[in-house]
Amino acid sequence: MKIRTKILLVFAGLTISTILIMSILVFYFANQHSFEDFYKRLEIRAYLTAKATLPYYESDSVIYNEIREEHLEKLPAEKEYFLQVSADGTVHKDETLSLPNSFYQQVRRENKATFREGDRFYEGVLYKSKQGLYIVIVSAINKYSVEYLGWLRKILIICSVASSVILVGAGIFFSKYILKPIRHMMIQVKSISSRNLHLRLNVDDSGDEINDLAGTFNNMLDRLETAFETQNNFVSNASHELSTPLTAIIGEAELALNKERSAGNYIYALQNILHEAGRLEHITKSLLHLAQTGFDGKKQEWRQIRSDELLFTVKNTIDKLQPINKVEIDYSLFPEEEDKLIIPGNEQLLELALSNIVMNAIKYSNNEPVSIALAATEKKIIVIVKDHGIGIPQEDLPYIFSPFFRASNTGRFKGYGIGLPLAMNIIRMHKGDIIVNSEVNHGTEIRVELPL
Amino acid sequence: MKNILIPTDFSIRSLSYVHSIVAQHPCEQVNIILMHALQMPDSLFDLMTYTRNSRHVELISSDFQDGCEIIRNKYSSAINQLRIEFFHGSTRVALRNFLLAQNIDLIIQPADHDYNPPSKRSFDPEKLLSKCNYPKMKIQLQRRKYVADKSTISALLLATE
Repeated sequence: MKIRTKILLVFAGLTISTILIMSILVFYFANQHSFEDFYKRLEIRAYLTAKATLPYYESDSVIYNEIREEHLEKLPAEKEYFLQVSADGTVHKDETLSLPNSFYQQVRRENKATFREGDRFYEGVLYKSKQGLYIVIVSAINKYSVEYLGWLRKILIICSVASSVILVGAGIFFSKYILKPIRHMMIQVKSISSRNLHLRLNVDDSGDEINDLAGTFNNMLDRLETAFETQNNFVSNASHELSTPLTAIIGEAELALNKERSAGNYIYALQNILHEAGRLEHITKSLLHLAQTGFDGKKQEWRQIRSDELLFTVKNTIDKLQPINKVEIDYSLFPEEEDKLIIPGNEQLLELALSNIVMNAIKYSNNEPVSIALAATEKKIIVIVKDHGIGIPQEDLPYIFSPFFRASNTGRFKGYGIGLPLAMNIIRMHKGDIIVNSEVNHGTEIRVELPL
Repeated sequence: MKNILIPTDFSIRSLSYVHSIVAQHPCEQVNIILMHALQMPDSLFDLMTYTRNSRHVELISSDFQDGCEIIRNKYSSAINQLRIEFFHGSTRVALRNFLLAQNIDLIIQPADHDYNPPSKRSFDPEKLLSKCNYPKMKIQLQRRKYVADKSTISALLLATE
């Protein structure tokens, strides 16, 4: 069911049921009240009849009868009964009356009682006269209130139906009005495809939820666009990176083959080819690494590792790769307790990630001092790698984790732009995060956070 | 066990005083109270709706919190307790009551006046602190060469470089 119909149903159901309940209550209470009114009229008649029929003085009877005939019109199907009550309390009942015994008892007890049989109403009063105790019963059909209630019912039904129609109409308009921005947004979103990812939803500054939603959509689009661009860049960069050594190899081979050369020339050419092929192999290998860590499909060996040992291994690896380095491990924030150092993870992968980061720090700082610090909070360990190198320009920071991206100031340095994305992939696999702070020509600080 | 008070502006730098405190109290456990001073609001309505903590807690950045945890882990044998307290008020009497309530034994006075108020109501309690007659200790942090960003956790590292 569409939200529109839901809103309509809820809105109409709520209001219509309120109106219905109100009408029913109005009818019910009017009904009750009209009975009371009618009983009062019957009661007056009963007393008057009694006074006229069983007067104290004969002369009174004439006056009472006069009042009755002049001022009280005859009720529809009005009947009067006089039932004498004998001294022992038994009532001489009329055969034509079919009233329950409780009625008579109530009359005796409370001096009056009422009874209803369909449209016919009975009112009985106890009357003490010279001739003795009597129960006077007047009955009549309540025609007026029947008519009155009929009218009331008609009016209420017409009103309820009319208001329901109006309410459903209002509900349709209301739900349309409420959902208008959403439909509007839907149309806008539908028009955005991979071709025009730069389009954004309109956001006005009313600050309501729909605008928040539009803002969220726009944010998502931003990220999607970046990812798309990265993907596009990746393909072009990858083919470029792969083709450069290939071109060199082909060129070298062609040069060597286009005429007879001396053995020394061939050796030189082959050496060049070998060098370029090695570069190619390196690129493809790192690409393979990147691809493997990018997927969650393969399950790596996962176990508890000590982060301080990890740092020492990284340091050892780097000493082997680059014997002259100034990498220092900063102990100033090491936690005292060992169990704060243990993190779950894959040792080889983490080592690869960290050594990539540290190697970058050495490479882009021309072998200036690099410090690796380790700290632990309650929930994570933090590794801070700091160098005094060339830094990363502010506008390049968002892209440094995209494969093959190289910051604009790295022209002098050799690299393929695979190291950091690989490290990021690995850290993400460990549900960690990399935060980069950098200032051009002053240095870069890379903070790796890994959950305990 | 000594209760030591450090005024803080919730910058990582203010945490670095802990290094020197621990160095100067060997073989002794200390309680460290990081005090952040806030002015009482001026308007009546603000005063009535003024709650003790909730609104100020968001002044504490997550980096600062991480920094506290790092320090706590690093000196887990030397520091018994490291906690953040808000001081509300701007008079000497209020401060005296606060110090009495926290049972402070020593006040750290940063020698380099480098206070960046994190909110409009925050103020540097330096003047108030210098007037009260509690034992004080001035600590001068080493001047450092260059820091990429003072707010990050690495500011903690430099203190011992």
